[in-house]
Amino acid sequence: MTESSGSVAGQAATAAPAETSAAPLLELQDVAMQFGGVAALKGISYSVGEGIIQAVIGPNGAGKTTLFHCISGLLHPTSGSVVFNGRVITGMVPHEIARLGISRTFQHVAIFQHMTVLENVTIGRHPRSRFGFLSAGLRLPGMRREERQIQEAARAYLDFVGLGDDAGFAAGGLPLGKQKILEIARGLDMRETEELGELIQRIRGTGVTVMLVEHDMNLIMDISDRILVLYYGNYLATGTPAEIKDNPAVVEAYLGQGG
Amino acid sequence: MNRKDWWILLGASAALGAFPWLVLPFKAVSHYIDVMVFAGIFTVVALGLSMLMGYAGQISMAQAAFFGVGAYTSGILTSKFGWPPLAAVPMGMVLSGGVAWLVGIPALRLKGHYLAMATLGFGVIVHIVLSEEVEWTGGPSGLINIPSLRIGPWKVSSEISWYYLVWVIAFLCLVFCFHILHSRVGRALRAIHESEVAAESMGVPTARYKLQVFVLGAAFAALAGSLYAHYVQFLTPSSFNLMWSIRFVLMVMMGGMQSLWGALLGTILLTFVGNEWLHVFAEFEVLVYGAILLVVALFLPQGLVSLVKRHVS
Repeated sequence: MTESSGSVAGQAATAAPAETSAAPLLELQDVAMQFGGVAALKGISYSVGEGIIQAVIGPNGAGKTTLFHCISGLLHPTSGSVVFNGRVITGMVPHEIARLGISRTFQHVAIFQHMTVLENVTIGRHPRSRFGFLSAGLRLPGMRREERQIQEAARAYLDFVGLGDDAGFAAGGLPLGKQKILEIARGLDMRETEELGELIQRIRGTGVTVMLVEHDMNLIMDISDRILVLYYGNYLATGTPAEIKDNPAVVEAYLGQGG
Repeated sequence: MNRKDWWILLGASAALGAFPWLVLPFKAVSHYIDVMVFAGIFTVVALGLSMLMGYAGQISMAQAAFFGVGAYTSGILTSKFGWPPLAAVPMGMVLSGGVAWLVGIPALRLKGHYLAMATLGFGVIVHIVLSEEVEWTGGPSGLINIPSLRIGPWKVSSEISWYYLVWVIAFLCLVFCFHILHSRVGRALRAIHESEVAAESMGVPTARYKLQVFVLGAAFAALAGSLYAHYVQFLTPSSFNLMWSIRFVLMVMMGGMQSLWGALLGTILLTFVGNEWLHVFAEFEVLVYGAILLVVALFLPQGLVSLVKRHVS
């Protein structure tokens, strides 16, 4: 998932086979999250189809970040379950979930500052490579072959997102917009807001499902296929961007009762 | 390893290779060979610890204990059971790594510096066992009759052959570590060091990697311990107490935590300082180490290599 500039944004990226079965890629079954006396999510049920751009919106405190934490395993829901590709992933730790094909980026850019741009992307290949300490230390032939593949793939992704020229620089030195893009390249496994939208649409073109949280309404309305609206931990509405724009409940949630 | 590191390695090999020929002719400094044998042995410990501290962000206060496990495994198996030294060395490494695994599982699952606490306790326990299990270890009076190392027909006995053997091993370990750092494993370790949450989200099993690098460090320490046992041929528990663990940490910190060359540099320096110049302080030696630690932490957090880097660039 990716969380985007100045806001929470998440994207579930998966390399799942492009079967056209009716079963959703990601299913939320009555997911609830309680922090002490505060209910951050009050039982959300929702399905995300494969190969679409799914936006999640809602005013501050709606539970967007909590929902993404629950999906990526940083939080375990108090009740309910998350099903990914037909498999219950509730209770798994983040790296196990990442291995299944959900990768996530964060609201505050969470790249590895002191590593180079290229190294940051190679980290994204981690779950799909296997060699360990001994074979790395001894540089066994199989490990060298794998390392070469990792490097080649990472370079290809960097070129794809347009960061090829920055490969050797420390990631922390990039301007913030580029750091965001780097984060996506890393989560991809395969530019400011406008460029970001364009990039996300190109990613969908490769068959990857993207789920995102973003406060920039223009971006959301432009690129999303489906939108889920949360309001104080509750499900409020769902639909296409056009439907959401005209939904009176959504308008009221955003503009307040006075509107 | 990148090209720069290979060049430094070449230079360091040449310097260390020539070192005996420079000091041997002079009686006043000819014992430096002996000091450098110890420095080479300690370098192996420091390299393992550097991987743990500098790249996985964990501190171990038990490296002397793992060093001791290796030393006493080699010592006991060869002196009491007649094992050939070359068979005892891997045994010590496996045993030490296994113990590290058991200690590390609970400690590394917790966040923060629980490993430092757990290893602190573990180090004390090992020291007590070495002192009290007199039948096996000889207790405080020491373990004797440890044979020197024998590799095939070559009986390593002279100081100069030990010198070269130890440093070849140290450099092999160094290259081994460099290769790890320049692989997916090394990148994962550095990612963990920067942000565990982000690393975990990228699919890096953080707990497992921290455990593995801890085990690696313990195995390295045990290898060094075995070399120590066969070189000195006599072991007492006092060589493996907490003070030594602190010294190992200091060696890594002094040279520079994020640099394997720093570990090498810090170890050589501190071994010389400890062996040659600090004896005058007698019991106050501890205070001097404390002062060094403080100065490094305050003024040179990146260690001595940062000075070198600054001057080169």
